[in-house]
Formats: sequence, structure tokens, C-alpha cells
Amino acid sequence: MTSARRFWRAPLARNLAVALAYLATARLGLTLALEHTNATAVWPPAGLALAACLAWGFGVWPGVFLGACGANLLALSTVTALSRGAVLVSLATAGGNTLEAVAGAWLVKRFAGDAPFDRIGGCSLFIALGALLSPVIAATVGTASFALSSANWSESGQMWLTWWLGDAVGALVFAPLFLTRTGGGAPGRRPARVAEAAALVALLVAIETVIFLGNVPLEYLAFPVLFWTAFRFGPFESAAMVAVMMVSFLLWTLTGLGPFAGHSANHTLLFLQSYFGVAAASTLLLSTVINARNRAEARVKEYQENLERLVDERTAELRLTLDELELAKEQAVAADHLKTAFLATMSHELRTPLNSIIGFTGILLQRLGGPLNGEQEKQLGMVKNSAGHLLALISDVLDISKIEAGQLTVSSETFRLDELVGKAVQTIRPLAERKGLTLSVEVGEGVGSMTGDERRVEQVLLNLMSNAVKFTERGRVGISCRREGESYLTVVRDTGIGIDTTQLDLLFKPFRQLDSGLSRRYEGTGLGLSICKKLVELMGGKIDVESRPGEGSTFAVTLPAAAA
Amino acid sequence: MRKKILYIEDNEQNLYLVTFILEKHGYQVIPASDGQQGIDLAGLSVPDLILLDIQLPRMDGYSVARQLRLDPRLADIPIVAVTSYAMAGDRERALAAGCSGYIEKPINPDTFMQQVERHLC
Repeated sequence: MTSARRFWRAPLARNLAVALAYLATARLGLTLALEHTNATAVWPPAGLALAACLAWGFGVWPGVFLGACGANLLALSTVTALSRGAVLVSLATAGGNTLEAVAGAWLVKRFAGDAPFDRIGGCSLFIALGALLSPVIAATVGTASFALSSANWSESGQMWLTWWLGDAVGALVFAPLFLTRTGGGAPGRRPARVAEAAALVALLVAIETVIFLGNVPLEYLAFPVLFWTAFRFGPFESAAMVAVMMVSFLLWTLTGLGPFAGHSANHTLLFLQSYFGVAAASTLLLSTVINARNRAEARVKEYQENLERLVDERTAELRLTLDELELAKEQAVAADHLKTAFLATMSHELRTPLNSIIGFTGILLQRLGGPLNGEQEKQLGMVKNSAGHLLALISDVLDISKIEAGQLTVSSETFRLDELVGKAVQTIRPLAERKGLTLSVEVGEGVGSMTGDERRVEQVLLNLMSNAVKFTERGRVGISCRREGESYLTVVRDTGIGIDTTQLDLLFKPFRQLDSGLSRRYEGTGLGLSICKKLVELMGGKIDVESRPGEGSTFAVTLPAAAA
Repeated sequence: MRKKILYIEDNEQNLYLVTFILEKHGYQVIPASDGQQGIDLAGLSVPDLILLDIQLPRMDGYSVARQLRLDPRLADIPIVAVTSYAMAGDRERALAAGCSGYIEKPINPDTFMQQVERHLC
């Protein structure tokens, strides 16, 4: 903040400025006073004081009071010699002036807000409360003090009226001049605006010349100039034009020219005051309306431009996002291909060495390489079992990887389910017999051809049956298969350890072999059932389980007979 | 007369393993270590059965099978794919390329001869 600005923020400086400005505007008012009266047609300090209280707050009231005292003494000195009575009248009147400004400012602030010239409502309230109502105070106080000091009430009515009107016009013309700023008008280049303003002033002078020199009653011709100003410029320029019109009208009339002159002084005063009041109020209202509309238009335009910019920005962002998405999609597709290739390679690379292990072990066990002694046969049998187990693990891990990668697919071929069940039973039977379990098989008459992935159906059946054998120590394991409408229902039952109800939900989740205590007793990845569930679902079927701990489990697989 | 089986396989251990099993079961094995050699030997010897690895260098087994089927003398000879490809659809692709059967690797020594001889009668 510059030191000059800081100075003007100080209360003392402001009060001083208000007092001096009050005196200066009062001097202007007195210059324009009609000869031989103490009443002025316009009292500009009324507008100044109101504006000061509105802009700087009520704290400037001492300045107003001081300025008003000086101004009143100045006014009185033009008509009477200064006496003690005159000083008292001056003080009383100054009190009225101050009260008028403070009350007017309070009313305007309270009802019209801080920016009364932004809206038509605020402007109307300013006119009604600040310019018409509050001058009643000064007029009443002033008239009363005069009448009391001179003990003459005969002219009080007339005096009150002109006092009130003078203050009202002062407030109407000068308060907006101090409270508004330039630049509220229609858009345009600066030189053009200046030329337009100059043309308007010239037009006003020309009209006044006709009215006053020609002494024709065409006062209303000033209105088009004022309205034009209101339409094309902002509230400040309009107020300034009104002030120019008013001062020049007064000057013409003071020289005795024009339609206002030639009456009694009081009549002239009233004519002028009412003319100025109407002109100032209508111009002020009009300029407020136009200004509000202009600002609204500017806001709409700005809003539109903002909106367009926003749309452009968003469109650009969206395009960028789309590009990124496209790229991400390409990368995902590429990654997918890579995954598929990797799985195929792993599948191949892991199985190839197993081919030798399993193959040569088998050859030796079949005595194709020559006779074996008992120990050799036992040991080779262990290699064979371990290799088989490793193969099963690799297959499960690859299957789960395919599921995780979304690469697991099933083929669709037609095969005989009854034969497949028989084949699976053949594979499982030796395991069941080794544990001394009864293996029962029951295939219904309606069980025949089915369309699906034969190898995968076999995998599911083998998995369920080997699980049943694995988790059953005594009793029986059974598989039954029957046709139910468009589906085959295959049920694998055992009398094994069973599954706790709370663990049933976890059963089909990958890597879960239930109960960590058991997982040491039963080998396996814990992947089989989750793979089974996925496979069955891929073929359009479902898998259900019922179990009681200690009594056994029942797995039911439903598969559509025809392709899903 | 001993039946001739052409085995096209690039992995030496696999070639030795299968050759050993087949010879022990009384077959004559003609080994080929890549696709082109296999096609040439098939044309020369006209075997009773062709065992074909799918993952071969330069020319894969599918192309070899298609090529073999173009020779009218080989049109009716069974071609059995022996592969560790285990992705869904591999079997279909092999059959579509002209193969008559499919044996998955690793081979099961207990059932391998059964699987082979099913295509010989």
C-alpha cells in the first residue's frame, strides 16, 4: 500500500477531506443560488455527505458536521450579519445536515445493500430512502431553527419545501457521481467513446442554446441527451451528464435567460428543482437498468466463453484419455498374447523332461531293458509314483495359471459319458482296492452321448473320485450317473472324514486344502476342486457339495448333455 | 514282415525312448529329426504309421501333416500326433491338419503301445 493510500485510510484525514469537500461543494451550491435568497436550487453537499457516509462509514460524521457548520455560516453571511443567533442556527442546521447524511446512509445500507446502483431495486430504494426521505430531517431541523431564531413562521412552508427539494436533488445528482465508477457502458474503442461523449455534450449545449437564447419552453429536449448517455455509457457518466446539464441550466437561468427565468424567485426555484429531480431520478434509474443489463450480458457472454473453453478442454482431455485407453488396450492384448505363449511354452518345457523320466521308468518296469531284482523294482516304482504326482501338480498349476490369465478354454466334442465313467472307474479301482474300500458304480440307462470337453470331464471325474479315495479310510466310495432332463447328474459319494460346514465355502477356492492339520496328512496342491468348478462352469454346468464331518461327502456334478 | 513306423521328433531322448519301445515290440522304426526329413523319408519308405511331434524346429507338425496328406500314396496312412501341447484346441488343430489321432506327452508307458496299435489294425 502506498503512503498516500494509507493516509486516506486514516479517520482524521477522511474527516478533514469530507469537511473540505463539503465546504467546496457548498460554495458551488451558493454560487448557483438565486439572488437575494438563502435557499439554493441544489444543495450538492447533501449528495457528498451521503456518499461519504456510504463509502467510508458513519465515522466521517464529524467531518460532515464541521463542513456543514462552515457552509451554513458562509450561507448566512451572504444575507445577514453574523451574530450569536446566526451561529446557533448554523450549528442546529449542521446537526440536521449530519443527521440527514447518517440516517440516509444507514437506510440505504440497510435496505438497498452495499451496491445500490447494481440493481433496479437498490436504485429505487436509494432514491426513495436516501434522496427523498432523509432530506426531510435537514429540511425540518433547518426550517425550524430559522423560524425559531427569527420568530417568524410565515415563510416556513415554502422554505421547508425548497430546502427538502434542494437536498433531494443534491443527493440524486451528486451521490451517484461519487459512488459510481466509469466503464459500465456499452463496449467500444476508447477514441470512439470519447468522440461520442463530446458529441453528446455539444448536442446538449446546442439544445440549451435554443431553449435559453430562444427562450422557448422545450426543456424536455435535454432528456434524449441524458437517456442517450444512460444507454451508451455507465451510471457515472450519466450522473456527470446530469450534473453538467444542471449546472448549465442554473447558469443560464441566473443570467436571466430561458423559460425558468422571469417568474418570482420561489417559482423559478421550484420549477428548476422539480425539473432536476425528475431528470436526475429517471436518468439514474435508466442507467442502473442498462448497466445491470450490460453486466448480465457480459456475464452470460463470459459464461458462454468459459463454457466453450471448458468443453474444448474436456474434449481434448477425453481424446487424450481415449488415446491412452486405446494404448492400454493394445498393451493388454499384447500382454495377453504373451501370457498365452508363455503358458504354452511352460507346458511344453515342463512336460518334456517328464516324458523321459516317466517313459524310461516305465520301460525298465516293463522289463524291456532286462530283468530287475526286487529292490530295483521297488525303487523304480517310487520314481514312477513321484513322477506321476509331479505331472499332476504341473498340470494343476498350469490349469490354475490359465484360469487366472482367463486363458482356460474347453473344447466341444461328442463322446459317450457312460464309457468315460467306466474308464475313470478303471483308473481309480486299484487305488480303492489298495485301501480296502468298496467301489460301487451305477450308470443309469439314459446315460449315453454327451457334448463337451471329454478330457476335461474325465479330469473332473478322476479328481472327485481320487479325492474320495484319498479322504476315506474305511467304508465305500461310489459313483452314480443318471440323466435328468437335458443334463447328466454325476454323484461321487464317500464315507470319509467329511468337511465342516464352515469350510464348505472355502472348498472351491484355489490353494485351499482345508484344515492345515490335514494338509500334512494328505498330499496335493489344493487346486483340484477350484479347477473342477471352473471347468464344469465353462461347460455350462455346476458342482454342488454336501458333507457331514465324520460321515462323508457327496459331490454332485451337473453337466448339460448337449453343448452349452 | 515287420511293420514300419516313421517317427518325426527333434528331441533325442524322446526319439530314443519311443524307438526303444517300438523296436522291443517288434516294429521297424524310421527316425527323422525334423519335418522336411520326415516328409522325404515318408515318400521314400511309405511307412505303415507315422508318429509326429508337433513342436518341431523350422516347420511345425501341423504343416508337416498337411504336407504329408498332399502325397496320394500317404493319404491313407495313419498319422498320430505326439505332443506336450496341452492347450484346449490342440487336439482339434492336429485333427484338422490331417492327423488321425493324438497321444499326449509325457507318454504313459503302460498304455502307449495300446494307443499306437489302435491305429494299425
